[in-house]
Amino acid sequence: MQSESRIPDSLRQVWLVARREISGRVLTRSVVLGTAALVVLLAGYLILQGAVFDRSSTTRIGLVGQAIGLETGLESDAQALGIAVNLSQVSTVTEGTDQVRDGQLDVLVSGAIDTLQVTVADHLDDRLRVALNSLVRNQALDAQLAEAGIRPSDVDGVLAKAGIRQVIQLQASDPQRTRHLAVGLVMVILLGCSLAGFGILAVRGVVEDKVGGVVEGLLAVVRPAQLFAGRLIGLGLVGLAQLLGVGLIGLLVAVVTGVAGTVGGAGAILGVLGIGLAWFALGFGLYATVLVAVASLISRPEDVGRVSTPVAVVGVVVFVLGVALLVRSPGGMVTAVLSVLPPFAPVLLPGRLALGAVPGWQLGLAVPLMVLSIGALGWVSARIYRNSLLRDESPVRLRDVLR
Amino acid sequence: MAEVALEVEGISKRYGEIVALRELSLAVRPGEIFGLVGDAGAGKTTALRIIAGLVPADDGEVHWRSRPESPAAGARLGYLPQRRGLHPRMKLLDHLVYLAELHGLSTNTAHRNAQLWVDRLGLRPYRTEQIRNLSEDNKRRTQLAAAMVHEPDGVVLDEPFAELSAPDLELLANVLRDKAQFGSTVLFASADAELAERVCDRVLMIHGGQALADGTVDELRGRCPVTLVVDVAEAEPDWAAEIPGSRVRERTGSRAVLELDQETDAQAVLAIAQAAGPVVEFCRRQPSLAELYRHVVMAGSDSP
Repeated sequence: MQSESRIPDSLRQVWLVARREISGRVLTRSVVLGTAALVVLLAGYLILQGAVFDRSSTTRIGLVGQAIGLETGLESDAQALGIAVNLSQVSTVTEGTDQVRDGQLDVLVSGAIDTLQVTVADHLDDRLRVALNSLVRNQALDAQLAEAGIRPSDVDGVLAKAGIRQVIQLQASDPQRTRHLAVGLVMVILLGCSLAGFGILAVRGVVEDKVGGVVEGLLAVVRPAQLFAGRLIGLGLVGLAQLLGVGLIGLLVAVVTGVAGTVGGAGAILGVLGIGLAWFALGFGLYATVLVAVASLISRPEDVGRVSTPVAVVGVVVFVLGVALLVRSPGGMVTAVLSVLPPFAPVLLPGRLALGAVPGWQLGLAVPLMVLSIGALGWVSARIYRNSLLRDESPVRLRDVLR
Repeated sequence: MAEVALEVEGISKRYGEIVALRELSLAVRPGEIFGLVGDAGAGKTTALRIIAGLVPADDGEVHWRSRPESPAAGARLGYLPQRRGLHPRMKLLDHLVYLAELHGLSTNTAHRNAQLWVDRLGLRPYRTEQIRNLSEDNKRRTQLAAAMVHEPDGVVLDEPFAELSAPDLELLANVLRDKAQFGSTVLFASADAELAERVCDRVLMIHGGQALADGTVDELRGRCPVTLVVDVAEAEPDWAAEIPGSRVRERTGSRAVLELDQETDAQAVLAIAQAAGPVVEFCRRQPSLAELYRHVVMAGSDSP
C-alpha cells in the first residue's frame, strides 16, 4: 500500500521542483536578455542574408565604347558559367565609373578588345574574369586564324565537340548545399548559445542553492536525485521554450525577408528547428548533468570557475571544432565518426542532419549512445551531487564524494 | 514504559579521519521537547542530519514511531537546518505553499496551512514580498514556518535560538510548547544551554561526538555536587576549610561558595557555620544547565 502512494508522490515532488524552476526562471533578467540577444542576432543575420541575396543574385554590367561589341558573347558565356548578368550600355567611361562607385553597377567594361579595362567596386568575380578573358582570347584567336587563312567557324565546330565526355558522380549532388549549410550553421550556433546559456544557469542554480543554504531544508523533504532531476527538467523545458520561440521568430523573419524561399521554404526550416529542439534536449541532458555535479562541489561562489572551466573548455572545443568540420568537410569521414560520439553529437549531428547527409544507421547509433551516456553520467553526477551538497569544503575533493 | 516516538540506537558517523559521532543513542516520547546540548563541534548537527534522514549513519539506526527512518517517513518530519536559506526570489506565501506541497499536502491544504502559519507568526503584511526583501527577523520566522507548515509529527531544529530577538525567542518557545502539547515530538540542538534549559523537558549532553549524560534538568542536577552559598559574619576566614565532603569554590569577604559531595548533609554544614558565627545567608544554589555541562565535560575528560 505504501509503495503505491510513494511513486506518484515522488514524481509530484520532481514536478514541483521543476515547476518552481520554471516559474523562477522564465521571467528572470538573464533569460529575457538572452532570448532578446538571440532574436536580434538571428533576425540581423537573416535580414543581412536577405539583402546580400538580393544584391548578389544578378551582376549588373555596364559596357562602354568598343566593349559594347562583347555584349552577345558575354551574355552567353556568363550564362554558361552560371552567373546571372544584367547588361547595359553606358555612354562614357566617367559616367560608368561613377555608377560603379554609387553601386548602381557592379562592373564596368571599357576599352578596345586588346586593351580591355574592367572597373569594379572592390573585386572582380572570378567566374566573370574567366568569361571576359575567354572572350578576349577567342577574339584574338579568331584574328590569328583569319590571318592564317583558316575560317574561325570551322575551328569553333571542332572546339564545340572537344571537352569532357562524361562526368561520373560518386555522390548525389545538392545544388542547395551552401544554403542548407547556412541554415544548419545558424541552428548549430543557436544550439551552442542555448546550451552554454542554460549550462551557466544550471551551475548558478546549484551554487545559489548550496551557498544560500536552501538545499539543506529541501533535502529534508526531497531526495537529492529528485532535486537534481527536477532542476534539470525545469531548466531544460525553459531552454526548449526559448529555442522554440527564437526559432519561430527566426522563421517569421526568414519568410518576410524572402530568405525562407531560397532554402527550401518554411517547412524545411521547421524541420531543422525540430532537429535543433530534439538535440537541445539531448545536449542539455549531457552537459547540464555534468555541470550540476561539478557545481555542487563548491561552497563559495568565487570557486565556480575552478570547477566549471574544464567542462566549459570541452564545450568550446566541441563547438569550434564542430562548426569548422561542418564548414570544411560536412561529408568527411572524421566528421561522420565524431558526430556519432556523445560530446560532439549535439553539435555535429544536428548540423549534418540539416545538410541532409546522415545515413539512418548513424542516427540509430548516435541517439542510443547519447541516451546511454546521459544515463551513465547522470548516475555518477547524482552521486557526486548527493554527497557534496552538505559538505562545506570548497571545492570538495572528487574522491570523497564518489564513494 | 511510555510510548517512544523517536528512538536513536547507537548511531556513528565518520568524515574521513574525523569521528563526528560515536554510538549516540537517545529516545524521545511523543509530546516531549528534547534538547541536544553541546559546544561547537560536539556532533549535534551530524546527529540531527542523520535523525532527519539527510545523511546516512555509518552505523546504528533511527526509528520514528518504531518504524525505520526512510524518505517516505521524512514527509512527517519538520526540519529547521542550522544554515538557514530560502529561495531569495520566491514570495513568502508561495514559498510556504511550495514546501507544504513538497511534503505531500494537496494544493488546497498547503494554501490553508501556509496562511495559518503566516498569521500565527505575524507575517501577514509581508506574505507577497520576495524572501530577499524581508528583514532578518522575518526571514527567521519564515524559516520556522517553513519547518512547520506541513504540521509534522516530529520537529527537528538545529540551533533554533541563534540570533533570535527576545520576543521571537518567546514566540519560538510557545510554538514548540504548542507542538509538544498536541503530541508532536520536538528535538532540537543548541550550544546555548541557558536557552535550552528554558524550553526543554529533557536534555542530552554531547561532547566530542559522544553522549555524556541525559535526563531531565533536575535529574542532571542530582548528579552534580550541591552548591551552597554561606555568609557567616565575623567568622574566621578559614572556618569552612576543613568541612569533610566539601570544598570552598569561592570566597568574597565573609561569603563563601561551597561545593558539597552528593552524600554530604547540608544541615551538618549549617551547624558548623552557626558554630563559627552568626549565619546571615545560607542558601542552596541551583546549577544552571551551562554549569552542569561544564561539570559533565570536565568529569568526562578526567575519566579515561
